[in-house]
Amino acid sequence: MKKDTKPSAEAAELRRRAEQRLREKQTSQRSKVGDQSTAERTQRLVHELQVHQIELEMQNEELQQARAEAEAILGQYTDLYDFAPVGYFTLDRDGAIRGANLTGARLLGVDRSGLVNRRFGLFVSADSRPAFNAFLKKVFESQAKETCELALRKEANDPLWAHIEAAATQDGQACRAAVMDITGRKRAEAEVQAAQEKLSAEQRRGQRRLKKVIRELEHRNRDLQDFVHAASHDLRAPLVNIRGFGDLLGSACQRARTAVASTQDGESLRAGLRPLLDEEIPESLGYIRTSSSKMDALLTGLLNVSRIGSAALTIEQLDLNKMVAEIVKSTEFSVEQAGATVQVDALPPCRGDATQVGQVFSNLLDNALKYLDPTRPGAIRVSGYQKRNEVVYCVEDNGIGIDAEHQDAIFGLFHRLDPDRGSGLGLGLTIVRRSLDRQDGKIWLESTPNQGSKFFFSLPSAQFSESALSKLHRQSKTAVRP
Amino acid sequence: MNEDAVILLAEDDDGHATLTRMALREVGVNNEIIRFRDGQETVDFLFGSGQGPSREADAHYLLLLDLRMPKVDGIAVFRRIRQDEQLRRMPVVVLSTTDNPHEIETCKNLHCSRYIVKAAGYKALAEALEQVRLLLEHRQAPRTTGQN
Repeated sequence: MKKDTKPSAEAAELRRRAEQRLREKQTSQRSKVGDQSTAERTQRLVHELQVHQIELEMQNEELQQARAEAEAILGQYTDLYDFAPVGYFTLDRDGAIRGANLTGARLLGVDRSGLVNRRFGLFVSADSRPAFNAFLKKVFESQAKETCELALRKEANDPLWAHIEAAATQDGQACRAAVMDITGRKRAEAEVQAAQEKLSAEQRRGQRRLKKVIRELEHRNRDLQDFVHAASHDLRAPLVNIRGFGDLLGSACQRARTAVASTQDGESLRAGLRPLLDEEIPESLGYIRTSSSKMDALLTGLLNVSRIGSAALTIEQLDLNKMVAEIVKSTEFSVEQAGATVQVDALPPCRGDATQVGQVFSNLLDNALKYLDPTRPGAIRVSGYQKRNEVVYCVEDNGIGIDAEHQDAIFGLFHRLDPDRGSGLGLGLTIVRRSLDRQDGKIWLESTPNQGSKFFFSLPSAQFSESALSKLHRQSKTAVRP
Repeated sequence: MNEDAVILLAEDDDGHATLTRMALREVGVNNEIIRFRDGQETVDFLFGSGQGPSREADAHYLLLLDLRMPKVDGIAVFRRIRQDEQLRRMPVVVLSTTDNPHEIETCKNLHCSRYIVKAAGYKALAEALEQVRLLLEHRQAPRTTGQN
């Protein structure tokens, strides 16, 4: 009601103001024109018309002013809509674009006129499209504001990452979506992630390096303990004999001297000296000689082992088939003598030092021959297989085997399983283990007493990465004494 | 002195065995000596596990044990003795080339009667083996059955 009376009140006010303006005009005319009755009627009519004319003029003025105000507001609104820092889209239920602001069109890299009625989904990257379809469905279902992040396609450009907030209109026939460019943030996130990945890769590399150093230190420590053990037992043992029998020699000489000094009779002198000259002295000399040779052999062996640990390695791809065939050929005589057979399977190539890998094979073959069981024909087999980044070789025999409790000790310096077999110093497996340590290899065994032993050893496979190899190579060049 | 006790000499080195035997005689130990050339022979004799002779049930034994021996080493022999109900009281004198504290500790923990470092020099060896004589004099070597 109040609303209805307002225009008439406004009209009345308008009329009041129009009449006021007319009165002012007439006052000025009346002073010039005389007073007549017909003329008065005409005058009133004219007055009415004039009032209407002025009313219209005033209405026109106000309309023009209102229009100018409306235009100003429209301008503000358009500016706000089109140049807002986010893209605005109105989409219908099928995802077709009904309207978009300029920022939105620019985000999609398309002229606004070409946007209307096209499906928004066409601008979403293929990867994000299922997510977009699900998002649109959710927006129309939930009636609340929904958000998602998508990759948009921009012609001949990197994908554009967008954060979208959308809500359906009240009638549920369309939705309004605000689209924000978050490519910068995404890129920063990707950079952070890449940096993190790089960092953790670096950490992993560092840990691997550390593990390798720890393993090397463990090897060195073990070798050192081996050496201390050998020095305190094996190297001292011949010295006990040399000193002990030396003293006995001295005492025999003393007794001979006493006999010569005190015995006049040649016959009884001879009888007194004979046991000394025929038994005691030669026996003592024999032990001294044997022990000196043993000492010499032990020291030579020790030097050989230490050389294995310091010799420069030339790591290269090795054809084991050819190498093992040559080694087997060189042992032909001993194999024949032992009445054994050696079977060599096809062997995969590996990376290692030719001389040292050859020595590993020949030491293992020697051991296999040395510890064959005399009650059955010896059968030795060499085989190999690829396992991830490494190659595993196996030297298998049907010999006497090794008790589980001795399996660790056999790699020790100067350890001999059975001194009655052959004349070795007990260095073969020590050398094998040290050599493999340095070539990034390992050795282990499976053995059953009275059935035989399988000695396995691994080396990096021929396909091993070049960088890892060059590193290994560098280390081998700078290696010092163990 | 316990003249009955049989001395078991577990020693792989022929020279050491000869020197030990002579030095024992020199300090007046005239007991019977049976020598084994490695740990396996020693174990076979003590536990009757080999084809050769084995210990007699009611004899007195004293074992002179070298530590570094092929096949079965001295410590392994020692452990088996201490784990055996009948042998665990048998006196064991360790003969070693080393005074390494770690090895002495191991042998003490296994209750060795003496730990003798094989001296370089015959006279020193004989002096060291004097302890075996004293051991035999002052201690009735228990029967291996552990009755004493």
